[in-house]
Amino acid sequence: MNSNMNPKSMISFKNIVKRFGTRTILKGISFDVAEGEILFVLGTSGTGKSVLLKNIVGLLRPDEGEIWIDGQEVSRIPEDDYLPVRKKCGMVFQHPALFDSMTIYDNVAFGVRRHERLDEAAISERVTRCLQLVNLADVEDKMPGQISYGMQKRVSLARTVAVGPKILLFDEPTTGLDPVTTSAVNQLIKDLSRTLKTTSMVVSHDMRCALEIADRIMVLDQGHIIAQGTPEELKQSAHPLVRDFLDEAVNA
Amino acid sequence: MRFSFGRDVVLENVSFSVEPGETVVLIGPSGQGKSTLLKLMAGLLSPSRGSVSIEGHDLSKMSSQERETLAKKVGMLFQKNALFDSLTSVENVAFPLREVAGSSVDEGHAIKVAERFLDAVGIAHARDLLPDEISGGMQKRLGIARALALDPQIVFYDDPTAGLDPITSRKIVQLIMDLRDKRKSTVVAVTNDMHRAYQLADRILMVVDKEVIDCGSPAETQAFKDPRVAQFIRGLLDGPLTVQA
Amino acid sequence: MTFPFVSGARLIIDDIGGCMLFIGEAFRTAFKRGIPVHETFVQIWRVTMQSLSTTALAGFFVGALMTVQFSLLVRNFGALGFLGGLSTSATIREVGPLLIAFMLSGKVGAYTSAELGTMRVTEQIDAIRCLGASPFQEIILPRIVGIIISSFFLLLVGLMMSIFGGVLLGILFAHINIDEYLRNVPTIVNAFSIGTGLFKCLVFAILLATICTYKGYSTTGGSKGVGRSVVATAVSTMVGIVVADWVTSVISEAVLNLAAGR
Repeated sequence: MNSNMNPKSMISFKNIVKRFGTRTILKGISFDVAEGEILFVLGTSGTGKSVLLKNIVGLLRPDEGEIWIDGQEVSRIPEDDYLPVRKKCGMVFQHPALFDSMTIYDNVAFGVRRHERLDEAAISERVTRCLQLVNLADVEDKMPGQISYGMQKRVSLARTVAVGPKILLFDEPTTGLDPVTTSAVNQLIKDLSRTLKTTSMVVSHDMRCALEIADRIMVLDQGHIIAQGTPEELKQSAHPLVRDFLDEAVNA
Repeated sequence: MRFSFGRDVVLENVSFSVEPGETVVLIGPSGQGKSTLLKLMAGLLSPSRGSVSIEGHDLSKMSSQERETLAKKVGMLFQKNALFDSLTSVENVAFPLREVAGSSVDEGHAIKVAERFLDAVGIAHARDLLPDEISGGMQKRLGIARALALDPQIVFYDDPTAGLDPITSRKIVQLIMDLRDKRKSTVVAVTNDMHRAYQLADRILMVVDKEVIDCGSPAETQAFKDPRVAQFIRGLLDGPLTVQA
Repeated sequence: MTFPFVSGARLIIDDIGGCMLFIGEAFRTAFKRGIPVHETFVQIWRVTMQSLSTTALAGFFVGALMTVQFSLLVRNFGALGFLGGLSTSATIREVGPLLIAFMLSGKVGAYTSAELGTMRVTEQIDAIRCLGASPFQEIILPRIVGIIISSFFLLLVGLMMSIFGGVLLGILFAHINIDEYLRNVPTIVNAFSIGTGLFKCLVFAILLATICTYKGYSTTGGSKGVGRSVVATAVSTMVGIVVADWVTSVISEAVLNLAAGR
């Protein structure tokens, strides 16, 4: 383990810069996520929140800086070596991104089949348990197109936790959902993170649920971190954008 | 102006009306027919039974010519914006202007009007950009500009802030309100976001269990007795609404 | 550069380069991680079932067409006896593989690039990577191998149907009996022309499989991008097939000369 690593830190960004052509999206971002922590990342659309997540799972690679995941520097390792890192990081996409040619069962079993030598009974048991975790039952034989959008989101979550990730990454999990469904999904994120003892990062617009379930909140604007801290600390922030987000949350 | 519905599969025996100049916001759980209701009102769908009337005219009994006249009075913003990918911003807004003018189109005039609308929604600088070259918030603004290009008296917004962050959402709703006040138009909007509903609405209707509940003004809605409404607007997990997700 | 064709040529070269890298990556994955057998069979079954009837129908009419055209010609020379041989040879060596490959590129190529393009824009391909799996192994290789095998098979079926179509039209249209039609087939159609036909089938199948998976996989820009990929697939495959047809004809000619010791 590197000497300047915080031993308890699960994800660590050091001066990460990411450019697309001439535009710089992330302008030197540094932060740590401690093991078992739930970190919310807030910000207006187009400030690079999703880019941040994609850098963790290696779908995008940073132009400068270091990314440490579970004690390993990953920003420049080759694609093939990244596969085991991704297994540690469960990414839940904004849209469910289910494989639409497979049944729900096969979707959830996809990662398990590729990483573990299990017999079908064990896989079946795992799939059922993961679907139970997201409060779904009797959907195994359906195709993704046959269930509601909210249920697809849950299946996508089950598929992610099925491979047993240490880290869960959520890309705008509640955007476009109605208030009741939003609460349900937030509750699910909290329960899952606590039950599975994962480290979680949630990219979101929703300050209210961030205040409710986050251990720490980080606000991003124009490629910089403009505020970070516990919900209590953040409530004291004087930054205008943070205040805007807080006003939205309080007016509910 | 009056809308009324008979029996439908998604909606059953729904009857209500919207007054001229009023802003009505439709809320309700996903998949319960908010968008269907909006499309019925805009005449994009026909009810299985019953009738929808705009300004006293039954939509189903209209001749195609009457429908065309009506189409000019109605503007619609689609959930996914439905912008024309291959046209620049200004061309997108000019499109309905040209369609209506037909062969007697005055090119310069159409472009000039389109530019005025782009300016009104605050994206004049994106005049020559294609829809996929601008951000989600700007696409919404462009969609609004196109919906309003024909100066409609009635405007339908299907989830105008979907997928946008709260700060941008608030600005978009403010824009919708400013444009409404300027033209004294009637607005019917669908949203999932209670902040936006309170900000925009004169009256809130909740679509649930195949019926439409008139919750009254935002203040009345917040004190509304029906447990389904109370649960929904607060996003509570316990209550009569089954969690769909 | 001000010449439009220069930038056009650069785009084409970029495209070919990208396609080469893509094939390289596919080969590397195949050797390193293997080809998923089950999924490959699923693809073979799907592609074959999807196109069997249309390929057979197209093949039948290609053969029928050749027979009708040739019969008008050979009748003037009083050489109706050669009709079967000429028609079968032309179908197997040239027209059959070409037209059937065109048809498959429309059907299989468009379907596959649209499917992969949709998977790309709905983040399904990212999801595969995030689950710690390789998209090349999971979806690209089974499709490339599946399409090559089943296209080759379909082309064979198409060729057989074209011979059948030729025979049938020879009887119905040119009024020659089946013995007469078939008598001169062995004198004109030899192992070499069959070899050429099969070689062409294989080359076309490989081209089709690579281009449609490459174009689909490299889709960007939402549903509009999927449309663009499908069009690009159709155009590049057709151009590629025509060029490959010419090249294989030249090669087979050279091989023939070599064999004849000239």
